[in-house]
Amino acid sequence: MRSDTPDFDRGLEPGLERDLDTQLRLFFRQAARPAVPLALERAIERLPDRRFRDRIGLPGRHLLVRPMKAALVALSVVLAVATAAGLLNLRGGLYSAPGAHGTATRVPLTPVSRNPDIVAMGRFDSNTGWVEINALDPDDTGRTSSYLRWTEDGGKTWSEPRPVPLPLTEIAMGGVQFVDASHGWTSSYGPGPALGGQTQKHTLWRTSDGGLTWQTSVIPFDTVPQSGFFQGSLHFRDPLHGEAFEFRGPPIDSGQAALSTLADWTCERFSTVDGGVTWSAPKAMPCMPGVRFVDNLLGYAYDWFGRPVLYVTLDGGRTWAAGTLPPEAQGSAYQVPMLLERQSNGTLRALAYWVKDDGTSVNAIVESRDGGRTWAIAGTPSADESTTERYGLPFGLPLAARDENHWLTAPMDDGTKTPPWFGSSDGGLTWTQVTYAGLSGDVRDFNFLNASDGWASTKSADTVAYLWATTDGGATWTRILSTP
Amino acid sequence: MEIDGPIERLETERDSFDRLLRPELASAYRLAGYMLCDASAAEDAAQEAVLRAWRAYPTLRDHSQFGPWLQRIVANVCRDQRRRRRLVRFVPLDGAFEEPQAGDPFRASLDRMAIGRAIAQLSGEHREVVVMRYMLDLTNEDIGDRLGIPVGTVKSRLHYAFTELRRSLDRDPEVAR
Repeated sequence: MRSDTPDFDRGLEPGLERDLDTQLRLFFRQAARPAVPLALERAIERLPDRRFRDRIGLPGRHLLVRPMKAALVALSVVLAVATAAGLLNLRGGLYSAPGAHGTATRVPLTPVSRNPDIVAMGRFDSNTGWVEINALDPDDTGRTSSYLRWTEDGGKTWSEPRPVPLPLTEIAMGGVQFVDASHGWTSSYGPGPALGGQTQKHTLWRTSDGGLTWQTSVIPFDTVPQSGFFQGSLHFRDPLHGEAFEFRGPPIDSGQAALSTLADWTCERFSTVDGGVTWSAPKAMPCMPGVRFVDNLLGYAYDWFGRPVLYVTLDGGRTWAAGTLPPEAQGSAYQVPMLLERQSNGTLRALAYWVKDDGTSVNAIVESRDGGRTWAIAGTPSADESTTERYGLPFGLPLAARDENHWLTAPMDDGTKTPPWFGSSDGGLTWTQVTYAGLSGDVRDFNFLNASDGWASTKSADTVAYLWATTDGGATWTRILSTP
Repeated sequence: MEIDGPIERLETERDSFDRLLRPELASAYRLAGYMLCDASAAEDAAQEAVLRAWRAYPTLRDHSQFGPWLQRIVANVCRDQRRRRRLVRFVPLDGAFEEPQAGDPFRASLDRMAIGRAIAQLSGEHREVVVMRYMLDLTNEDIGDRLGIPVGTVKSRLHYAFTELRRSLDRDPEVAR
């Protein structure tokens, strides 16, 4: 507590100081103490959830946990049943069509249940692409299921490749990825068919026909612990080669997980050279539960223990460089690369975000010319005065690079404001407001094939998920999918 | 088997954040209110501060320091808000006080007493040290900690704040009468 008399070192006239001191004390003793406005209370109840945190790139400890949970619960039970019933690998079922996805458009798509979100999407060329839709199951258990939608005509028609023709609540994929139009993977956890439905194990689901049929094998992750942190993730760089990352650590409910010592953690990598049929013995790797991949080869992660290090892989996760961030990032509570892009000259360029212990944030464009080993600040992002006055620095997530220079962001409504879109044509250094037409709703993600051709997923207030397409770099959009 | 562990822990993290936040929320809102002299801006600032706190929560090592930590964040958000407002707001001339917005409890409270009006006319840097000292009853060391400035700077700002306050009070027609 403070002392009773002001202590300024160089004081006013002592009598005046005491008089003002008394008046100030009296004022704040009698001053109004307004209650917290209801709107503020409500806004706090709507603090961004895990999904939002993942999207803004904060420590994504639970990045895959929920999708996995959804996958495990539903898929494990159902596939055991499916196996027993001899339904696996059916090609002639209701939704499968030999040879071509296009024929599958003749059968109705499985109706998606409540509150769908497009959680992943991928494109192979201007015509062929897919989305994974995650939605609440209709049984009010709070579980979610995933649905795959596939197009081969730029979104005019959609088919639904599925593992097996089972009721919708029994299909849950969670975390689908494809390296080309044929080869894709997803995972589940539980008493899966690969082990005869007996043992809790991680099951890898793999397809080599664009999702029409799926095969299973076991990912040699440890059993998910009853307490403690666990995260597993997969990344394939081509149809044969992939990595499975497993991160296990102490419980996070103490709020200390990100600050626990490295000795408390087990972080391992398994490799496959046959598309996931078999896996190597575990190899130690840096702990980076928030690992993200820009493409099949380029990936990055922040340091889980708060050190100013940015991990980068250029070979799909097989080897990692622990790059040192610039001195300005020293002493930060954590560092988050919001976007990482490979320039045509080989330079890696990232929009980085540091949060100091006091909650203030710093944004910077950082570059590495040595494959991610060292990083230097290349500039500070800026926008015109009217923009920063209204919105602060305009970028947020989703944030996408249309090409190495043209970046686009449609910051999410974080409960305080709904900013418009902003773009940069100089690799993130300067940002200006951009106009667009035809698209509405809260943009969840962008996916650009090149500077012109892109997709955007949105969620509207009426809880409908939409997919939009642009062929002019985002100026105009056409809706190509809506669900439910 | 359901993988409930991680999900439960996520909820616990949010629960613990809520448990720590609730007793501090009103104080944080009022701190912002008297720092910014504007209920609407205070609401925005408090909300932004809570959002920043939630984002940075995993980095908070000592949960017993949640209150001071939140105060630091509120002070930073208010400072950011002042910078933004500075670009477009008109500065009152000759001690003229802006009309309080209808229903703004902070402005009404400040406007009720001459010393309150004088506080409202302080520069942001000076007002924040005064509010922290007299509303939160903090020591100079604690104020320095919350604002990220040396104790000597706190003392200096308080000195100049008092000088400003005295001048404002001397000009206040109610005091002059």
